[in-house]
Amino acid sequence: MEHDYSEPENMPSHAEVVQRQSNSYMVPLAIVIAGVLIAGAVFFSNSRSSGDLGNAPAQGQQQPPSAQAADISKVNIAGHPFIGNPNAPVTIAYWYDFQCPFCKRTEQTVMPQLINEYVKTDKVKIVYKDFQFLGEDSQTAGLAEHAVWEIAPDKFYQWHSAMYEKQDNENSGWGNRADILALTSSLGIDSTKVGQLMTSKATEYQKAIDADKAEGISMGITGTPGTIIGKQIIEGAQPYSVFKQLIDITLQGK
Amino acid sequence: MVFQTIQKVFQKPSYMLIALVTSGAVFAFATWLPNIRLLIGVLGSPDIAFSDKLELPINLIGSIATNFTVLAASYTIAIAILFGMDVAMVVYFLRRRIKDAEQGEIATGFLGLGSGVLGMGCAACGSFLLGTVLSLFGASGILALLPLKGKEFGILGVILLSLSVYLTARQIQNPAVCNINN
Repeated sequence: MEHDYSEPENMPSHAEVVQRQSNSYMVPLAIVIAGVLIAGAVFFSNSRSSGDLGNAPAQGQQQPPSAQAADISKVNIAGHPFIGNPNAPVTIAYWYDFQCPFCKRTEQTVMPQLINEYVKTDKVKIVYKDFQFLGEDSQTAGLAEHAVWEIAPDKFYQWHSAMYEKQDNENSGWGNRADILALTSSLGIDSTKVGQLMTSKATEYQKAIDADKAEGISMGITGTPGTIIGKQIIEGAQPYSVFKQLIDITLQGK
Repeated sequence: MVFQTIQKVFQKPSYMLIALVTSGAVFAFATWLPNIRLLIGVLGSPDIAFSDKLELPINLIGSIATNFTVLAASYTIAIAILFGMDVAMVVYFLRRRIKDAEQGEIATGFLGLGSGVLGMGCAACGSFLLGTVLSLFGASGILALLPLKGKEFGILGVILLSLSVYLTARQIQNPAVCNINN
């Protein structure tokens, strides 16, 4: 835009000057708005109360316990599926949903390395905690998981991995009861028994699934995958180097 | 012409440096954001070695490959680059003391960044920040109605920032001057 101020009548009016001055506030105002939005969102995401996931709620969700700081020593691990030496110096609690694509990434890119380097060397024990929230197939998988752990704990990790190998898009094909039982059978696990337990112990298993999720929320797990190592939470599918670093820090503290 | 203006700005090493530093900061923020609590916990812990405190932020940057969908990673990188360019071009523009110009395009740039940040998130958890902000108003379910679950805001951020770069380049190209009539 060109302005010709050679003639008095072309000089900017008072209104125009005021407008330009007000325009000059747009930049700092935009910065302030963006900064407040970002800071506010970060602040509130750190301090928000449990139960707010913005996704489909689990069936029969219980009232979550009050919030507490993440601490592996306070995680309920009794009776939960796990891999590794029961007396390993470091315990990792790992929350997941069987339909979560980022849990699949963690399962396929992080867990093999973690197991080779730390679980097989008796340094780490991984405890599996349900955070099934992505739909009916997730809940069904959770029930099957508890049944598999009950009758074939030695094949639990193989079954858990196979479930992620088979994962497709959320609630869009593979993953119903028949699919899961067929996969279970293909791994040499008594799928008839698993199916029976999924029915006869459905209430008990669902209660445990819901309790795991509520516990995770109370400790600050806001989505899947979520991992607690020591007093730190790893959110999302982070690189193996992050897990390795936190495990090493925790081992040094032992 | 706009491309030539952009080239002119970034031929100067100082503006390239501004762009790189700003882009790097935005990119790092995007990868650190999902684990900001972890970062704060580790950086603030007296029991953790300084070397570990330096190492964790670097390790978390790798999450661009693990914790983002291809779409989200693409617009995150695009937003970081565009915002860096935008800031450098605005500095160039302001340094030339061109006061009599519209500043809407600068505001557009920051709105673009804000939109992009709100759109950041993962496929499973949807739009991370936007879900957080909307949940304050009990409206987080709105995201589920969107086809890309909130990632539209990331795409919008790229569009706004591209527009801002374009407008700033135009402004640099056509500075407001006072005509001297002979």
